[in-house]
Amino acid sequence: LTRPAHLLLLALIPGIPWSQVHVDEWAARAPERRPFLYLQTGRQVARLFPGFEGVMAGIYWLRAVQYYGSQRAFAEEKTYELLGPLIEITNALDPRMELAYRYGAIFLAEKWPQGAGRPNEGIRVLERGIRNIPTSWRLRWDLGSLWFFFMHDHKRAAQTFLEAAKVPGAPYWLESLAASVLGRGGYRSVSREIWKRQYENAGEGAIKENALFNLQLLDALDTVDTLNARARRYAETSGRPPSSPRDLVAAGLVAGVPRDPTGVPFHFDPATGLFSIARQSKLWRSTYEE
Amino acid sequence: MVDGRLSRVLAVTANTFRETVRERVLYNLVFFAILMTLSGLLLGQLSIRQDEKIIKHLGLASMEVFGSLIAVFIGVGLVSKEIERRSLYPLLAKPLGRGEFLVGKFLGLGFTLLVNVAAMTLGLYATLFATGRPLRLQLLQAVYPIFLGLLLVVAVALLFSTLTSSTLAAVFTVATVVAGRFSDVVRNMREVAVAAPEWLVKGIYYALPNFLNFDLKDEVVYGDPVPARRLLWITVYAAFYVVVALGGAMARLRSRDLT
Repeated sequence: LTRPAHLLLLALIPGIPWSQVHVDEWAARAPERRPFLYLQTGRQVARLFPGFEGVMAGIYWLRAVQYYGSQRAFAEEKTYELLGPLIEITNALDPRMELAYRYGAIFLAEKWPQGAGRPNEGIRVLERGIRNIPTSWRLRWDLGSLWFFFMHDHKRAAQTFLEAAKVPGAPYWLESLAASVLGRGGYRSVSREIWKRQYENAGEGAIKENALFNLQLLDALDTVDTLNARARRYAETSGRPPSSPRDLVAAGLVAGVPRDPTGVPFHFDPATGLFSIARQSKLWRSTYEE
Repeated sequence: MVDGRLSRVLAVTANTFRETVRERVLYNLVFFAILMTLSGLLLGQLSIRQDEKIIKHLGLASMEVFGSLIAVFIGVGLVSKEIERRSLYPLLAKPLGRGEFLVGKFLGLGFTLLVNVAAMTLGLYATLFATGRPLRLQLLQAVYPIFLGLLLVVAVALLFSTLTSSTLAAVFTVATVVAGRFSDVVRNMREVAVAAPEWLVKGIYYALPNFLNFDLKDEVVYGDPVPARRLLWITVYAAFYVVVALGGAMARLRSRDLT
């Protein structure tokens, strides 16, 4: 090419990102893409792919995880409408894939917008799993946790933990956990016990991370309670609420700027003189179950 | 002079089209016809009131898949095979510029793809008609960007074929097309890999040919309006990328020692 032609070619290159920016602008105005399932049941998929049910189960499971992640992270309208069918298809194609029941139930039960906010569906998934893998104590344990955390049915939670304890190979602490759920300790201490066990027994991955998240959240909530108790004590002694966390530091009630377990400073509201988990912390939620 | 150049380019174009037809490229239309007939016959019973949507999705996706396969595997051979078989040498001995040869090849395969896409579009409309579904012109708003995307695949294939052997060019082109279909993942990379520098993510996003730009299948199938200006910008994007890719291919072909 001649020199001017080379220069012209180079001059055209910025046109690519320039036009892409405009394409993106117009694409952003378009309605959100609606994912769609051609085959709605595991039976239909199995009929179409005889002999490849295992592979198809893997593919559908990957699709379920991708769908959950994309809804959670990117979707404007987080409906999670295909999550149930995707998990059902995976379970039907490979009824022994324990992980699909466990994660699937969590994805479904987790509160909206982090999850689908449909604990009843999560419970149905775990009950299906228990029917298909009767030797799994983990599925019963997860089911008990769902009854406890999402349905607040402590009696059924304890009953399910006791059923899990009877499965050969189940850990010894399930029985004491059932006892805790039924009587001893408040909601937070039982929660801590369940998440601690979950953390200790899970392999590396999302279940362990979820347990760690919940343990950190419980620690943060405990710290908020402690800080607010000290802020109230400050208000009683000085006759006015603290105007900033520094007042509490100066009064010797707090050692330094208080931070949550993820390292983010707690939010301080000067109007009330009270602390809460900061919005920018990954532990922040619009409501906390107690 | 312009007339002479144009007629030489058109001669290469016509020859490339004839060559691709001789290579039985258009046989894929037979598979398409079978696929459409089967889907028309079966989907009404298999899917629950979703057959129109599935027929449209299948038809449009087939255009894209078959077209991409043709664009990649014929596209990479257009130049490199001529060089490997040494059939390019007698051609260049004639009054034919390397740039003219390349543009002629691009247009020739582009025309083949146009015929292919047009035939498939007619087949899709025929299936919809045969199954008693309404025939809407809006379907063309998805077909047109698919065709633009295929032209871009040809340009990328030609660029790689001037840089390396036909086998490697095919591998690189397929990799580029696949990567370009994940451009949304690249754009949102920092949501997952927080440590990735923004300049790098943006650089990759804008450098990769964004094949998602040409995917309006969902919107058209669901009957969402596609503004004309959006189609215009998609065309502008395709034009820029095609010209730059072909320009790069031309520069490389001209610098090669083919004596």
